[in-house]
Amino acid sequence: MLRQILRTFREAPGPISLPLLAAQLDIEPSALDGMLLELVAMGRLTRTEGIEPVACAACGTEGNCPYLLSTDLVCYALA
Amino acid sequence: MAVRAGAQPLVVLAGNPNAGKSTIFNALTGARQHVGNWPGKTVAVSSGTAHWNGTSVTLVDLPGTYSLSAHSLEETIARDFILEEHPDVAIVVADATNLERNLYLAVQILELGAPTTLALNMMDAAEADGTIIDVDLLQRLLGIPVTPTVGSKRRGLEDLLQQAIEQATPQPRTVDYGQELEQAIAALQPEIARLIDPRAPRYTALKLLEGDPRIEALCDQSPAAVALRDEARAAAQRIGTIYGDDVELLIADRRYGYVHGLAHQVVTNSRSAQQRSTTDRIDDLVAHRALGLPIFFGLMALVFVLTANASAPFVTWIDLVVNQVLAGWVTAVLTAVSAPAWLLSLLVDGVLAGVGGVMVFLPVLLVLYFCLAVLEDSGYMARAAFVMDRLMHLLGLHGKSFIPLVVGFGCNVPGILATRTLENRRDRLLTGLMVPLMSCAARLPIYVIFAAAFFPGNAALVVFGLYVLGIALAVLSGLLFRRTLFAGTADSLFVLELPPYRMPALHGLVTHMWRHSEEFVRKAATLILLASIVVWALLNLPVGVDDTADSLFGRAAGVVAPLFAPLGFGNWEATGSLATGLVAKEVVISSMSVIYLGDNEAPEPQPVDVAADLRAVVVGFGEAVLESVKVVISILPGVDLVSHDGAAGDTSLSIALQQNFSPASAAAFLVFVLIYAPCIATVGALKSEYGGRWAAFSIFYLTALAWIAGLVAYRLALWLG
Repeated sequence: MLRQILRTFREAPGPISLPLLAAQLDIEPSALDGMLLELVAMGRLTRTEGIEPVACAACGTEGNCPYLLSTDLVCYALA
Repeated sequence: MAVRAGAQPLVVLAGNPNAGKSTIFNALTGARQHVGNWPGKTVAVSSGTAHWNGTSVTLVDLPGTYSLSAHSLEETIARDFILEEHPDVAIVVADATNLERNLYLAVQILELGAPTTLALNMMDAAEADGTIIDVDLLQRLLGIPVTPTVGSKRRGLEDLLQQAIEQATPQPRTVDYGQELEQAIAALQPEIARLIDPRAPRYTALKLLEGDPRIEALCDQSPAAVALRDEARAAAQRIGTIYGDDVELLIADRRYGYVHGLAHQVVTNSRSAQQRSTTDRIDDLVAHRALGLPIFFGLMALVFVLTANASAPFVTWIDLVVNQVLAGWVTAVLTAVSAPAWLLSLLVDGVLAGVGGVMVFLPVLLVLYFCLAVLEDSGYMARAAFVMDRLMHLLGLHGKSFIPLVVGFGCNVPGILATRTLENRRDRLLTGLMVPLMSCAARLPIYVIFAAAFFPGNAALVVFGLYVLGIALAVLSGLLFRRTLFAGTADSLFVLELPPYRMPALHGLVTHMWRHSEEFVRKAATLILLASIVVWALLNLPVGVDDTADSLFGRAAGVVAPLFAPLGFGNWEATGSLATGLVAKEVVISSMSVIYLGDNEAPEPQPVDVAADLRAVVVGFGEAVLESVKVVISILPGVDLVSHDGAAGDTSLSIALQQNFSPASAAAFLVFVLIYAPCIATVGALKSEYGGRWAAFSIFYLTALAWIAGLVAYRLALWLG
């Protein structure tokens, strides 16, 4: 399972979100979430979320942007 | 903390966070609890006593974890507790609605060698969801007792305790890790049992092969154990070479595979065509091929009618509070203390006019965000993306791109960042270029004030029309880019999860509404305040300038103003306000307030009657509430409790705008505001995501498009009269 996930990431052009990967691999998103977290803990994947400081210099929410938090913007990529 | 009470059996509760572990713990122990910290840790531990059939057991609630991989403090605590305290039984509480994920921890605990029993908690929710779990089969496959429970209703808990005490077994089935690993485990186990841990030699062998630092440290105790560690390392290296990956990953991979297969065998979903859920039935309508789009636009129109009309009485009320009452009081106080005229002008014409001019629209945003929160929390927004997906594909665009576009309605910056979820750079870039055409909330105050001032009978329709125009231009721009800049790109598949519908909770709606609006207030207190002061200063420089047209601001804006003459607003006031909108779109309104409501003369002090002012504020608020309720009720078909059009009443700024714009030039101005160059935060997002060249392209493309569209709008409005 984990090796299949890593293979998918190697073939992907960039970061992949959880729902997309779950659909691609036909795995329950909640179960896949656990696997991804395990891979992150192992240092094999990185989890990207939050705001780029450059993009939001004038915003002032300091990473707590409500719009961003309300989106499914959590993506994973090879570490 | 000491957890064993005399000879009482020790039972631990383990499970994923939110699996209902603590609910079961509380139900079993009642008030017989003790809460402390794990030795040397800040993680809380609860222990208590439970009774069953004359037997008392000590129950310990382990921290909620998803695994025992010891990557986090909680995982380490849970693992070490089981390994060091040797509980008589481990009860693994698994969320039955989410079995596959929860089984991973259960399998790891089984590997620790502790006698284990499994509680399938929240069985009622699983059944309601149509999930059937073959409990007997799961029991046989795992080789341990399995008890269905509903912790919140205390259902199944007696059986659980009975099974834990009487039937938990230390010989469960184990995961098959494949020939090479199993051989290595078998080779290591006897020596591990002799030298390190006789209770869990298989688990220790696995950890030794993984290179676990805690287990490796145990090998430092004797030369024989050091040799064992070296043997494990050599085996791990050999196996790693065979599989081309490290052993830790291989072990976790096999374990996840085992759990996946297990879940596949025991879980089925019973929902058939005859037992369709409410969600399915609603989706038949809102995601319908023909009706989906009209329903989407109908709902959006309703949102804008509610936003414009229900907030209007409060807009008028805040205008009264800020521009009349507060401005009057500040003027009176400063005059009484003989403050210099420039200070009075700065506070009243700069700060109050600028910040107050924007704050007036807080109710508009509160209503908008409340409505959007209802759509979001109910699960409809995901359907909106699904419905729009068909339209996007029809136009040859990427369907999934609509999600960042929807996000862009709130703020363009996260909309652009949300394009990261798209599969390839071309799709990300194409969508990112379309996002600024989505009307962010910052532009809404401008729409509302102009629509109310110039199109009072159709204010909500005008605002809604601007949003639709933004979507249409985004789609057309996308088509244009697709056929020119990104020709030949194939569509990707669109996979979107549709969450079940649910009744939004009022607390959640209010929280969402405020979290979104809070940023608007914060911006008013910082960026807009600063911008208002700068604009006021530029309007009053050089010192002693009589006519604001001759000020630094007036002269600079006047240079660019002729460019906008074909659009009907070729004056320095409008042009200068648009320029300040590049900082943040709300600043357009604050600048207009400073320009039109302030002047170079110090405000004339008026007699202040504090009691009358307070009475007017309180009465005005009551009237606003009443009027707003009437407006909302009047949305129901056949009900009309309001005699006027319901749009925002005349504010100080709207009166000033009526004197400086015609309806045609106002229409052109609105269209220009909708499209022109994004604010600096959005430009920053474009630059960081796609590079400086694309950010520059976006600025020039949007400004040129805004000018052309503004011209068309102006000519069209003149032609229509």
